[in-house]
This record gives sequence, C-alpha cells and structure tokens, in this order.
Amino acid sequence: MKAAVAILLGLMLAAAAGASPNLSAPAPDGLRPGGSLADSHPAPVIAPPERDAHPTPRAHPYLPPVVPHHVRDHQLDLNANRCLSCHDVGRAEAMLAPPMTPTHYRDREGKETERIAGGRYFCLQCHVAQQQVRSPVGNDFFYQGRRHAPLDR
Amino acid sequence: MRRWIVEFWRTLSRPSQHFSLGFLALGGFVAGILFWGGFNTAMEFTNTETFCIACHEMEANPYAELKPTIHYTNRSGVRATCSDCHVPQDWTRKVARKMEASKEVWGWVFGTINTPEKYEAKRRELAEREWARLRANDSLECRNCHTFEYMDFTVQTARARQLHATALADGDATCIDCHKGIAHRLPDMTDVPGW
Repeated sequence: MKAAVAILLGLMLAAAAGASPNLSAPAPDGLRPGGSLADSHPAPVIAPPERDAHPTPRAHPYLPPVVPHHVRDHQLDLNANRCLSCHDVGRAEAMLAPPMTPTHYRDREGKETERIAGGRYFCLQCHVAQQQVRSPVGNDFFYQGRRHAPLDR
Repeated sequence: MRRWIVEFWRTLSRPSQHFSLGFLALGGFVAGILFWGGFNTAMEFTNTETFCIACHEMEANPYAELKPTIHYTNRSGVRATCSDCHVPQDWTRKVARKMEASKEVWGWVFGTINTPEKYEAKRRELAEREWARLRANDSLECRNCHTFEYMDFTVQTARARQLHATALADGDATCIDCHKGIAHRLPDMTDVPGW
C-alpha cells in the first residue's frame, strides 16, 4: 500500500515537472504571443455590434450573406422568428430588406414549401451578425482564382 | 339608519363646542397632508420595481426576460422599469390601472402563473392584453419617453425612417403594432399580423 502511494506520488510529481515547460508552447503570433500559453493576458475588447452597415461582399458565391445589422433582442425560436418579419419574401419589399432566396422555400426533397422550409428556419446558423473586428491572422483563401475579400475595413 | 344619518348631519352642521376654529382648520390641513401624502406614497411604492418583483412570478418570468433587453441595459444607462411601460403616468388613468390590477392580486393568490409552464401557457393571452391596451391608448407609455415630434429621422436607419415617416406619422399604426416583444419574450406568434 505504502509503496503504491509512493509510486503514485512520484508519478504525479514527475508529470507536473514534465508538463510545466510544455505549458508555454509556441503559438501562432496573431492569436497569442508566442510561448505564452501559461501567461495571462488581458482579454481583447468586445467589439460593439454594427448597427446598420452596408452589406458585406461575399467571399465566394456559396457563402451565406452575413448580417449587416445587430440582432440584439431579435427573437428566433419556436414562438417567433424576427428575421422573417422583414426578410420573408412577402414582406421584404415593404421593409426595404433583401428577401430570402427561393432555396429557402424548398425542403430537403426539393419540394416547394409555402412558408420557410423547416431546415432553414434558424437563420443565424448560417448567417452571422457582423462586428467591427480585425482578423487576428491573415487570410489567404482563394476561390476560383480570386483572392478572398478581407472582411475587416 | 335614517335616524343615524340625520344625527350625523346635525353634528356636522352645528358649530363646534369644544374645539377652536383654528384647531379644526389647522388640524384638518395637517391631517389632509398626512392622508394625501400617505396615499400618494403608498401608490408610488406600488409603482416601484421592488414592489413588482416581490412576487416570484414577476421576478422569475417577465423580470428575468427584461434583463438582457435594451430597455434594461444599454450604452447610456437610461432604463425603463415595470411601471414605465405598464402603468400610465397621469393620475386618473393611473388610478384606473391600479384598480384593474386587483385582478393581478387574484392571480397571485390563486397562483395562475406561478410556474414557468403556467406562464408559458398564458403567455399569448397576457401579451395580447398588453398589445390591446397599448393599441387603445396609442402606445401612451412608449410615448412617455419616445416622442414622435423629437425623432431625428436623419439618424434612423432607412427602413425605420420610411416606416416612421409614413405609417406612424399618419397615425395608421402605433408603436406596438411593429415593436412587439421588445422587453419580454414573444408568445407563439401564429396568425399575428406582420409575423
């Protein structure tokens, strides 16, 4: 019993001693200063949401357009979908909002639906609200020979 | 009964035998201040957030839902409390609303919404009552702070400007027609126009 405890303690000490230098492994410099994993750094400032920015250009044709306005208090659950109250095709024009494309009125089998297809209901799964932040690392994404347009202005 | 009324009237109509006019006049004045002040203080107290969320129904449901919204926390720290939206400011309407609120005491005594499930089941009914109230009084409580005359359309977004300059300006719509669910979660919005 005593021997087992001694071995266990020894192992734990060895693990602690062995692990500590690795805690400050080098890191990509944009995300975190190199070799600083074990250090505490001040958290980056939380960027305020954009209120009513101009539509951000898409990086490639299949990218769901990002949301160029804030979505605070915009309820999106089983009870209500605030996005639809402007972006539903029937209302979009009056609300000066871009309407949803016809793909959103087609279910998985490709059948046309009268209202938004169930799989498309939770808008924010694909469309993300934008904030004024700089990309921490460079972006070298190419699509069809074209450089990705940087999102930060 | 009749005799008692007659007796009472005689006492009232005769001059006082024991108390001086000054005592009665000043006493009445001071008593008036105390009673009216006390009444008003009590009524003001029922307008405070402390009073509203003293019941767990209010604290656990509507108050918890208010907390993340812009009417509770925002850039400038100006905030609305329960009574700012749910009780009219001017006296007559306020007293009328307070009398209506006796129904809420009934609801509290019998626990109509004392569980999250009961609250959820009644959410549409409660919301509709508030929508109807605000539609009937032309969103009076909204307009206590948000005055149409002082809105600067140039700093509003294009769609807000468009709708405020047409439907709201012409009186075709009132605040609550579009701005539903701004301080609490919405109920099931099936068949609500605009949703």
